[in-house]
Amino acid sequence: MKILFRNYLIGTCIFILLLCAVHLPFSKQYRSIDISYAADDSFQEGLSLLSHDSLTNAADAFTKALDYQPAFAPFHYYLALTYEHQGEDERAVAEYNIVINIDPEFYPAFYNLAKIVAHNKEYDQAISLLRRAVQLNPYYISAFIALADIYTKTGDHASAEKIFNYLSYIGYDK
Amino acid sequence: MTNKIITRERVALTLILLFMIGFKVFSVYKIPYFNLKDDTGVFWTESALQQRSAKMVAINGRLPVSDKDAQYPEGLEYKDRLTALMEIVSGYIYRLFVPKQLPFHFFLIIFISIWSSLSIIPLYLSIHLVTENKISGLLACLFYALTPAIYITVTAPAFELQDFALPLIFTHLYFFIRAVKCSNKLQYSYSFLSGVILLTALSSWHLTQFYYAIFVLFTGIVIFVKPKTAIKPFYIITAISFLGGFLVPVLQTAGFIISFSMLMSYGIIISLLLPIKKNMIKRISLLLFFCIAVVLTMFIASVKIPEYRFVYGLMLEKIRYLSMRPADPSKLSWETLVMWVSPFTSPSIREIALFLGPLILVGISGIMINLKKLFKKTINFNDTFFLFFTGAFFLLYLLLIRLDVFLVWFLSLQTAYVFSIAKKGIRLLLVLCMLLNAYLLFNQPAKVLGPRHNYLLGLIMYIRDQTPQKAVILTSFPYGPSIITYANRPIILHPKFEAKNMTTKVKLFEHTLFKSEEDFYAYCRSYGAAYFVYQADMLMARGPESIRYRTHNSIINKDCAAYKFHFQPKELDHFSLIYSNPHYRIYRIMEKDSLTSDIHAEYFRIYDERIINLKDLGIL
Repeated sequence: MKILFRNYLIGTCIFILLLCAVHLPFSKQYRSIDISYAADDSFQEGLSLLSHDSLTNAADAFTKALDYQPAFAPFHYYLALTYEHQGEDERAVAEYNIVINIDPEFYPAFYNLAKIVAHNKEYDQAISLLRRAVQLNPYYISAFIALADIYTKTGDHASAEKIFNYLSYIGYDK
Repeated sequence: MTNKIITRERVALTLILLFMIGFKVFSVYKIPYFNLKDDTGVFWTESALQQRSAKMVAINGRLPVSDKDAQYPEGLEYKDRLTALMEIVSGYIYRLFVPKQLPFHFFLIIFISIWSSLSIIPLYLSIHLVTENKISGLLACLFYALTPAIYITVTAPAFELQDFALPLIFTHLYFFIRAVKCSNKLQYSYSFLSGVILLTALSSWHLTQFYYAIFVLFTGIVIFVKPKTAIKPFYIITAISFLGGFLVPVLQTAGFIISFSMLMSYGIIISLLLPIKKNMIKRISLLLFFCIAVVLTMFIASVKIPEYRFVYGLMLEKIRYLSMRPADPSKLSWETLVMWVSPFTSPSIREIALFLGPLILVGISGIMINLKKLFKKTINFNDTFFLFFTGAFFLLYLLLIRLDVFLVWFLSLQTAYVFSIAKKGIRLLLVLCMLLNAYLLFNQPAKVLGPRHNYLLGLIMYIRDQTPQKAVILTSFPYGPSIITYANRPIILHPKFEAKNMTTKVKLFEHTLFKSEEDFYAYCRSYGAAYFVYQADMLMARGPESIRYRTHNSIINKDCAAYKFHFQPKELDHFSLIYSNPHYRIYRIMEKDSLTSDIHAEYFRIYDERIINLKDLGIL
């Protein structure tokens, strides 16, 4: 008898709750839900600070943006760029590597990373990075010029010449 | 002593349950882009739309009857068209009981991890009822908990209706067999519980109707074989479902009381109540009612409720082509092809091995044990019931991988019969099988549903930061929810095909993409779109899940809108490119004269027609 009563009671409760749930929580009035995203605000703030050369604050803003979206390549890229401007090459390299890891087609990261690497005279790695950058964007003039420059520095004049020939072929005038 | 055993079993079952919940939550937590502070892009497609609905309930306490932003301009009818029970329940729990320090998206992960894991309770109880062996029940539950397939949806991460409905369906099943086994008075009470829980499942997931059809089919077969079988619980379940067809708005709109499963139910009940003593006539009447149900369903699907055509059409075509897509897609309609995508595809051998593991072998052994009993005619009703469901979902799983969640539950139940065999060698083998499943589970390759997070995030952030607040965004249907949920902009298309006019709008959109720019502009204008999100795969993909495949556009020419969106944005008269990344482009839609020259010039190889072999892409 107890089980019988319990079953009917539970069944009836579920039935009533179900009917309430499919009828009551609906309103003819529409209220939108406001959303705010701190990552966007921090990123915009970071860009503004970077353009005004307020590098320490810009780095803080980009770091804050990354706190919200740690796997978004542009956040890492601009943080790396800020570190690069600050002369903190090691931190910049680490951030550029994260960018490349997240987005293997982010060619400006390859170019900027190559510049730092070349500055440290690691020419082989710089060549490899620049070749990847121009492979991703065959119209990336500054990357081609940087590549030709490294070839010249390493004594590979033939490769440098080839690059300049290609640049004049695509309409770039030195 | 007995109490101690019961307590020990309860503790063991609770530990298995906690393991399942913990595994699900932790799997989501360790996804690289998952973050507690920001929910952007956490869920994808339908799950994202469901997250938004649940958030509306949690914040506003209500859902709009019609949401214009979610389906511009006509509005998405939440009350009449969508099964929003999961969102309502989760939204209210958060609103009433959860500290707001817990981020809402993380709460949803925890909620669905707990709720979906509850399937283990009816599994244990059902096994206990049919085998009366508690240890077998626990071992079968452990096997279930170690099977990778049951984690796929939640850890995608997803917030899906099926994960809410399945524990309800399995609980309904348990109470049904309990009712069949009981004395008269209790039988009605358990049937009532079973019926009410089934109705809740029907109100929370449209595909529950598909399960219900199989349930009715089983009853039909039983009555056909033994016409004098009195299945009283079935009467009560049908009566409650019938009542639900009137009282639940979403079932009312879907014409549930005239659905195939309900028509079949009426036929079974009428043939049982017919005052005829001859079994043969009862059988003929049952067949006759079945034929009437089929004909009526075909009529209803083609004339009254076209949404049914999608599911039934897909199933029929899958059977016709033995689950293999024909080489020529033009043999299939757009309606079939748009559904014939993941997770409505068939599993490959690799997927079966990876997601089910040795469970399939042990489960088949359980099926064999029951088949042997069936041939010896020593099988009882409950064993037959579960044998039928395991067999039915085995076949259906081969057609639709999405049904793996059903199959795993029934296979786990079948393993209990094998665990009952008290031979040391067999038990050792079973333990090895479980260990192998555990190995598969902990070594699953990372599988995250949806497109690459980085590019999608770029798209979403651009829209929410650089477009006007009320700008209407046109995207392909899977992307709509990400835009409305994470960028808060009205959308035109979404993946809820049960919504009014949605399939017509999607079909027209996908076909118009390969017509002229003027035609596509006219489409955008007719729905008030201000921006259009172009995806690179609209043109580049030609595979069986692509838009080109399902619109029969394997060969296209350079004059179509899609080609210009991809390769020649400067040639467009009404669309101005404002954002680009390797996967997406955003176009502002405007009158011909007001077009500005603010073409976004960032270079990406994929959009360079000079370096891409157009012939390989079927572009003439």
